[in-house]
Amino acid sequence: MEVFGLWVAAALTLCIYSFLYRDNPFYRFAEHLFVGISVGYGIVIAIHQGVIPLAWEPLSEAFGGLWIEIAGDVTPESRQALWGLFRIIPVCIGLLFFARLSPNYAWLIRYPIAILIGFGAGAAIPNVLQANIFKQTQGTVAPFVTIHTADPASWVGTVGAVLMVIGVIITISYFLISVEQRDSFKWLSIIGIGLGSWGFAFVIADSITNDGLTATEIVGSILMVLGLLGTGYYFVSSVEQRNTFKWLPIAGISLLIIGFIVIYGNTIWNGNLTPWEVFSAVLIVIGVFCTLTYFFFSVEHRGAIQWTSKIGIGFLMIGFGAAFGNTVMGRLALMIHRVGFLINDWLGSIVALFG
Amino acid sequence: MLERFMNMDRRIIFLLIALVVIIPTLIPVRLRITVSEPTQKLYDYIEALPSGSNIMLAFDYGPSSLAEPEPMAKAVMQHCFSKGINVIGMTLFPSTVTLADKLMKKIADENNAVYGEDYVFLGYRPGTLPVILGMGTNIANVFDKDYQDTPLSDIPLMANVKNYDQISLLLDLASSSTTETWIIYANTKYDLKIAAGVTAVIIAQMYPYLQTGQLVGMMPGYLGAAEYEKLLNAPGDGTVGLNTASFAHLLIIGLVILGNIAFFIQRRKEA
Repeated sequence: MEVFGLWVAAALTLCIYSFLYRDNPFYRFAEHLFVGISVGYGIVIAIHQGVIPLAWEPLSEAFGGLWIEIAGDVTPESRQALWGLFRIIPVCIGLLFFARLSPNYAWLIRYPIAILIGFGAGAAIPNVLQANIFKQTQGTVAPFVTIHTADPASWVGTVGAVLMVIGVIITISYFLISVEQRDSFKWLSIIGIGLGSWGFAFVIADSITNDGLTATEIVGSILMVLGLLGTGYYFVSSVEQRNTFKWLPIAGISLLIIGFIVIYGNTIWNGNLTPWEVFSAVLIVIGVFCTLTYFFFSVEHRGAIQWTSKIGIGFLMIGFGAAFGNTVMGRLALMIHRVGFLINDWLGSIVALFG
Repeated sequence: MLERFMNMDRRIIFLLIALVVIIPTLIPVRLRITVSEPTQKLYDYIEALPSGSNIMLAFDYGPSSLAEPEPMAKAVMQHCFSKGINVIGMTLFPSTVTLADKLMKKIADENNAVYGEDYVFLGYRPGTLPVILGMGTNIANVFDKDYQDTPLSDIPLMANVKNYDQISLLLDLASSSTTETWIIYANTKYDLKIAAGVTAVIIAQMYPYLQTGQLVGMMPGYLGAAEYEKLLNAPGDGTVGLNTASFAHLLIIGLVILGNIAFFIQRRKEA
């Protein structure tokens, strides 16, 4: 029987590969056979591993228990089996899928679909957010946190962090030009920058008291923040202001780079991170930022944004290339497996037969 | 000459690929294998587990993609049995039930492992999400019996295994996005440690999970199987497959380079 199976498998493998020469009836036969057997086998397994143990057996036992209950011959087992009657509810909900076959009752299919979607969405949303958004964002930022070893539970640090977040939100709201800017908005920037500065001071103070940041790292951080503020200010300012402060983006980016070198040069020097780890972390952040910029269609892709999105396309293409390369490797693996089967198992059995 | 090359019958390429696959299969060549970090991490994690720990193997691939996950399953199960780690098998794919059952029996026999004491195969239950979430509360609520219809309460191995709390690692042998589903539901909700043994097609999308630590390790395709076999010092199907694949990759790289050169020459001529 095993030898017969080997010959069938070998013949079907050759039928499938015959398509490489050209389309032919042998290939079509094997293809249709594969699809048919897959579906048939799947249904049988679903009945034996799903319907029978999850629905049929518990319901049979429950109805048996119910019969004993009616007959008045109650046992603990028959009482326990009665719980199986609750399975009628999911079974009935599942059976509503077949209402689709009746034009008059087709609307009933909405209920099982609604339950499925509701369950799926309820289970998925918090977990997908946690696994694919929060954890991934954390993973992108995590290498940069390696330099900051201050106690996260410290109240000084927490207050500082909260003040900085509030400051950032208020300051950003000042630049929200989609809504009418009244005089009161001008105060927002002052309050925001003030809160942000105090928050920054708190975090730095906390880091110093907890030996979290060295003097070099603090200097580097300040340079980077100044660089970011300078560059950011240039991009949000008016055309007249840009003409006045043409030097601002160059100075800002220079400060950013110097600050970065100061911080991470020190980190590498101290052995907290290897140069390769710093390079990888920076590359990931640049990749994420540029790729997201490419998909940011709310602004016109011109100037700096155009260049950033072009770099994003580069990252995307590298990603697609890696996926394509791996796909080729995967397809080859399938072929190697089948060739191994034909040579070692099938031809091997023939050689063994005559040898 | 260039014209003939550009219009070459694609069946010549198929023939060349067939030759570079058949020849190394007939005349095995042993190439040097270096172990990558994701595979090393998985090996180290299993190596550090004490004897008597439980590992769950999810056979989440179909018959059409078993070439890569099967050598991985063999290598990991061999490692587990040699260290006295229990293996609990299950699948989210209906078409894999008999394949996985047969494979587990074969590897167990080779390693003198006893069913019910060293390993168990739970089988398949429909509905990916309810299965993964349900096992987090109580495995017996989802699989009240194993694949051989034995109640879980009668299986010695399962006596102390109630839910994911008693599972040290889930290794998902996958050919599709099931690893992500395990991460999203079992890792995020129940903090179950997850590793992946994936077909080459989905390697790229697994790397972000490795970087964040949501995957403790990964075996990437034939390469991963071969690397794991090297760590065990037991060359098997993964090593043979990788050696053969290397020649095919060389041919494909050569063809890509030739195709590009021909394309640019032709474009220059047309200009």
